[in-house]
Amino acid sequence: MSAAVRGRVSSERRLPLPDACLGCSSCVAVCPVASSDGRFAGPKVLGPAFERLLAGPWPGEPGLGPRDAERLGAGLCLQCHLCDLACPAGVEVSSLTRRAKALARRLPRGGYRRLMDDLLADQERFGRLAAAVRWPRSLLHGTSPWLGRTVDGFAGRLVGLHPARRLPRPPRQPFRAWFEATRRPREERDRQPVILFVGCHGRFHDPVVPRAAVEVLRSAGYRVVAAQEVCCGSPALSVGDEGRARDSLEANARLLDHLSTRLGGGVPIVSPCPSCSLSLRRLLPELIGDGPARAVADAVWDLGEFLAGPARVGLEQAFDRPRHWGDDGAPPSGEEAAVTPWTYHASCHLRALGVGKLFPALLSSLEVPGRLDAGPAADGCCGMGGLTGLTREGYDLSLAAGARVLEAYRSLAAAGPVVLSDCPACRWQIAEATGLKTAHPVELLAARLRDRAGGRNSIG
Amino acid sequence: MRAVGRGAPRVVDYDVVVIGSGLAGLVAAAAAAAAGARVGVVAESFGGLAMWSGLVSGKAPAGDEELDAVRFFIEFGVRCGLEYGGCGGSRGAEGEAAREGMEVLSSSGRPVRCLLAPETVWAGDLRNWASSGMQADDGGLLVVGFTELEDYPAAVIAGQAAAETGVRTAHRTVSLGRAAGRGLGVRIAGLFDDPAWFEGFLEASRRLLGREARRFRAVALPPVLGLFRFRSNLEALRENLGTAVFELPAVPPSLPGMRFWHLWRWRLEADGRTTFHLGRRVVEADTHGDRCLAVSDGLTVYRAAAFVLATGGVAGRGLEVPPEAFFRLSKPTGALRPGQAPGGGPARPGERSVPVEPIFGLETCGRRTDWLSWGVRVQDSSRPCPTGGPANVFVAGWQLGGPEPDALLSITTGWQAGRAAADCREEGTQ
Amino acid sequence: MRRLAEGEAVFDRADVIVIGGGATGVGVLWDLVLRGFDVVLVEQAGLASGTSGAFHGLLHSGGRYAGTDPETAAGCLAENRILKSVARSFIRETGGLFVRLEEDPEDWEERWLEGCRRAGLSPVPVRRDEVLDLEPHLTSTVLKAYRVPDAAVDGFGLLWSLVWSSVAAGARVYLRARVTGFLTDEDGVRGVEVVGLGGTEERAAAVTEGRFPQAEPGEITAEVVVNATGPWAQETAALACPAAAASVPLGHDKGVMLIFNSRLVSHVVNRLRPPADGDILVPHGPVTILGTTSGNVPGPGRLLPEPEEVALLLCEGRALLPDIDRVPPLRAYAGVRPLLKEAVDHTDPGAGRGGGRGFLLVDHGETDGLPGLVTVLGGKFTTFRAMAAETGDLVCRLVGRPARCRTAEVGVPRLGSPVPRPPAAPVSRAPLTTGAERAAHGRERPDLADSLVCECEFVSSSRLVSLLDAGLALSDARRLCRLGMGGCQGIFCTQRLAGALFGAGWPGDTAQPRTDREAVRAETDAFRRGRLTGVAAVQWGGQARLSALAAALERLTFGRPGREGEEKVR
Repeated sequence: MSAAVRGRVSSERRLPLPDACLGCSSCVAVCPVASSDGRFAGPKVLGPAFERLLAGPWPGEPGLGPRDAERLGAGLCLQCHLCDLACPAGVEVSSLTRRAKALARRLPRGGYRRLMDDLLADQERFGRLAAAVRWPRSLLHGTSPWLGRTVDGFAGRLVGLHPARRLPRPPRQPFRAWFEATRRPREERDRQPVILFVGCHGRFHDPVVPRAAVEVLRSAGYRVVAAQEVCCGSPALSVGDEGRARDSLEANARLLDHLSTRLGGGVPIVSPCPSCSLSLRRLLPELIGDGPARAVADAVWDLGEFLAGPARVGLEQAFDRPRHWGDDGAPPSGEEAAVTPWTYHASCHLRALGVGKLFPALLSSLEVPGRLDAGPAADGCCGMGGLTGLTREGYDLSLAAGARVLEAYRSLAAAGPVVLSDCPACRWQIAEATGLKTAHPVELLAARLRDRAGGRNSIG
Repeated sequence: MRAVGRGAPRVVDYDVVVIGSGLAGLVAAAAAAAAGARVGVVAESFGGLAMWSGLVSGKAPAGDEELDAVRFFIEFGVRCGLEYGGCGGSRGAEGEAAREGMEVLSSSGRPVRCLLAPETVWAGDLRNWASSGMQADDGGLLVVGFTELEDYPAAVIAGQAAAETGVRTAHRTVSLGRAAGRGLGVRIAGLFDDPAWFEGFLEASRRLLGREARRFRAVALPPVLGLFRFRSNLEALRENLGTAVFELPAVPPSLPGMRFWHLWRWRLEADGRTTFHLGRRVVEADTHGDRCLAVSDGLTVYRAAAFVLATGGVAGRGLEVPPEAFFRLSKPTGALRPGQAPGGGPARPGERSVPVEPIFGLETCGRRTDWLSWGVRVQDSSRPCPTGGPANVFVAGWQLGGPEPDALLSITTGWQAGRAAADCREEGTQ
Repeated sequence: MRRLAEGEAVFDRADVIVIGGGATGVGVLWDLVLRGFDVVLVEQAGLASGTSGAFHGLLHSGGRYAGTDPETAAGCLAENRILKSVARSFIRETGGLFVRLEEDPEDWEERWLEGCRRAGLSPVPVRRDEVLDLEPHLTSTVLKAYRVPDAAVDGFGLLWSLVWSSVAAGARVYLRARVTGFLTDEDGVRGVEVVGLGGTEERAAAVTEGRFPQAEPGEITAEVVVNATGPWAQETAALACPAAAASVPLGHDKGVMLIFNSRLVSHVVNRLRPPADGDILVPHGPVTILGTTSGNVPGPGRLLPEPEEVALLLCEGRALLPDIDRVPPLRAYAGVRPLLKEAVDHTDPGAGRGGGRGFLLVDHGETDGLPGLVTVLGGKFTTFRAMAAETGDLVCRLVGRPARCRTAEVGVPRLGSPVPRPPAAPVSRAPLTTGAERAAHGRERPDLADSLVCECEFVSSSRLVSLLDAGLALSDARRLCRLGMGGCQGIFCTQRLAGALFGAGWPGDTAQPRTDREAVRAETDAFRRGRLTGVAAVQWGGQARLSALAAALERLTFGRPGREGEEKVR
């Protein structure tokens, strides 16, 4: 097809839609970056307007280039898709801003810098690297925590992290090893299977979350199958590397389709990480789009959605709770001795999933006490912006971008709450910026399950 | 056959499902929740609220129902932390102030008549100025703009306001510094929500405007003084500048509308009866006999005893005008029967379920074109279709009334629809 | 007509006066300047504000006329080649396709091919599958296709470049200056009387229309006056004498075009059938133009596209692009073709397209005993250079100063290339300057360095202001930089525009700030109203929603008067 014709041409959408933009700015209103980073020109300008001139004002004329994309802050787009959902004209804004991002990425960068950028964007490789040095790191941290931290800090700077960002401690036991060790194939044989898409953070850095997810799902009566998986492609996409994201998604579609078939078909795929869920659910059809990819996308659930939905009954039984909860949703008084107060933070990708904030409702319905409300201002972007907030250049801006939200949580500090969030990046940011404890909500559930008799909900 | 299919069906149950989260949708959700219903809101995004200047226009509330709706709106707003009032910010004992209305400055300097306005614009009620014996030499208005915010040219607005209202005006433009970046209104509001940054701004504004502002009756600022901290920010500015301070409406994305959305949604969520499914577009409905059983976004099925259709006509996709309909309607004889979608086919819930009657035209450049046509006549029960159509679906939104943006109609129909829908639940359970 | 007094002081003096700032007039200006004449051009509104601003932007290869009028086709082809060589930067060699659909008559193809052969055009057959490869949105019912050297032409840019080159060479161009009468002496027509923006009513009109600050009416004298006013040719000739008007055989034919806010095709696409309504698609900048209709109208008044005409276009367009309903329509516009009368048959509404694309040169000295007045009439954008060349020859004969036509050899500078600046003149007397030329340079690549006034088309405020500073009216600047011509049609940028205008100190005289603001408001209101005219006829799909949104914004955010008030403002 002729390169002069703009827009995507697929069987579904034969005509390009960027020009359908009404200019109404709904996307700007909803964009977490536009409201937090002054360098970002906003989805309206970087999406439809940019696309309009990408092909040149006339056929065959030079259009906008990498420098323009960079000047408008294209690289800052989180690819959270909230703009797509807001657009009244049906323009897929984020797929347009992605083109601007990809363009900005073409700007020449130093060789080392590029190498490290690519490494951070390739979480699969980064994770494997981390796994390879897990032993020596553990040994180091074990003998001298100070030495461990120092070496970590050095390594962090080497890959371009800001000095204030500390690499996660090496896990004592990787998730996979724990999972295999605790599997009871014979007992679980007749149970309904669920595929767990762990995500890179859980696989390589922090096995606590997937472990909690497995425990809770098992208590709810499921047979959990940990997927053979690669990175969901979200980090690659967030730096504008569509090719790599596509490769990852394709591999995942193949692996998950195969696994589901082996388990008898139609198996729900559950992920504790909203970025992974979003990537699989939305980008598989968009970037891959074949039959298996679509089927896999359809079977993907966010963990909260799954626990509040199909697993609800099993979960309530596990908690030994009646099926229907009181209308007031208030915790029963006097029952608990030491209550850990908690509040819930919805990540941008979770909001983009459109499932609603299900964990707080679920926790309330299971009578997990101690909920705090951080107020309306807490509802927004924490500023981390995927990986950008980790880097030396992005750190200060990420704190500024999340100022409003972080301030809202800081105001709760006196109560000493744990901030629950599904997203590892949000937890990282909130923990470092506010000094509050953070956890995935499923950790709280797992802790409650483990410690039901004591009535405590501390997270171990 | 593919092995991986849909996993377990995604079904969620509510008493009332509200489709759309614009002004009408939020009011409907609040009304239904207040009546004790468990509410699910299925919507794509802000609806029209990101484009709404926050002013409630329309015909003055006439009947008791309308006054009840206004009262509810004002009271719920107080709980959300965003107060609405009429006539110089007076809430009135019963929302009666709305009957008086206000006249606030718009960003083209022309006064806009409205019934209710958010607290941030109260000080700009020109009627109030007039009633308190405002003279030409009595202060006047200082329009302050921000260099970075180009959608709000203070000089132009001040000049236009002087010409339109006869009030003495002056203008100043101050810079917000590098943090404002490209000057998107949402970004500037983000800065105003940052207490540390605002401290600095306050200091600077005292230095730059302090002595001068005191001489004016009021200072008009762009509507970007924070998405959440606007109240305390306005208060602090008022103290520092020593005079009344208010915001003028500006082009979208409109912060007053966004505040409304965020605060109402937060309050509804915090109350615990309402769940928001955002980023969802309802594409099909399951109707049986005269009842709608469920709607679906293609992935999740939302079951409820009653539904409120508040899909909007402008920002939402409640309105579709295919070319044929336009050409048909552009002839004076063209008419569609109620219950018919503009395309001529039967109405489908969610997609194009709002029945159509040609009810207005617009004149552009001396030529009348019946360019758009939608809406239903407002029924007492807000039912979408007077004849036929599901009985447990209720329509809300200003497009019910015709072409003139009438936020009061969104409020009243939203309130009616929400209550009627909540009543359905009781019928169902009995 | 007034007799020039002996020794009367005049406003300006030249060898030749050209009336009309359309393609014909500017072409004549350019031609005569290159021949070494001192020329003044007078235009009643903005440059290319009549027919030349409302054509479909197509540089014909002649293919369209091959089946009906091979002679015209040959003329088009010749001009097509010349313009491509001299005005390369304003012509986009998109290439053209003639496609025959299943429903199109088969015998026409043979007749068309024969016509092409006679016109010297050799269409290249394109395989059916190849066509769909080239143009993926095109209907799959294409049976046959041929490639011809059609192209898209940037009419505004080309005419502005010609004007700036001419100005740089010493010509004067007065925009928004209307000719109210002719001046004579014993030798015949000697000049024109021009009313600038002096009168009260006109002053008001000027404030809304533009900013040309020429205050007093004045006289301009010359040896020859060329009337190149297109659809106004008869009116203008009548200012000399009724007989002169009678010898101008002018007919008016309205054409409506529809713009889609998307580049749907990358070639000019014609249907291979007898020329009819809605069978040309032209990729023009970021948009696609679907043209055209044809129908007789009594005069060149302000014409608006009627819904029936738009419906007809859309219906025909669907045959070429089946999915066209899904594309957002942007606006519709109407132009008037000035046709030679003998070609227009008033009983047949479609006859305007049938023939009469030729042009006519009337020497009123011969026909009406008015030596010194020449009317050039008819033609089309593609042949404007040829028309100008013949007019130039005639002028040379009349003046008795033979000079060779050089327009086929001298290249038209691209916008932004250095042109010597004329000496500075006091503002009130200055015609156009070349300063704006540099400002127009940004056209090639959008300038993102500073803030955007228009986010749809990426127009920065500095670029707009530099265009205005150089003497362009907002409407001229808008056409050059596509300000407000994108998706939102001015809804969101009008306020920013007002700020940019005011911030630039527009219109320059700061002694009366109040007037400034009024002028800014009048200008921006007119800008917004102008945008509304075009969208009224395309109110479906996204455009319908946009209008509803606009109405709500006007009412609640800007407090602009609603429908009732609109009347008052007008």
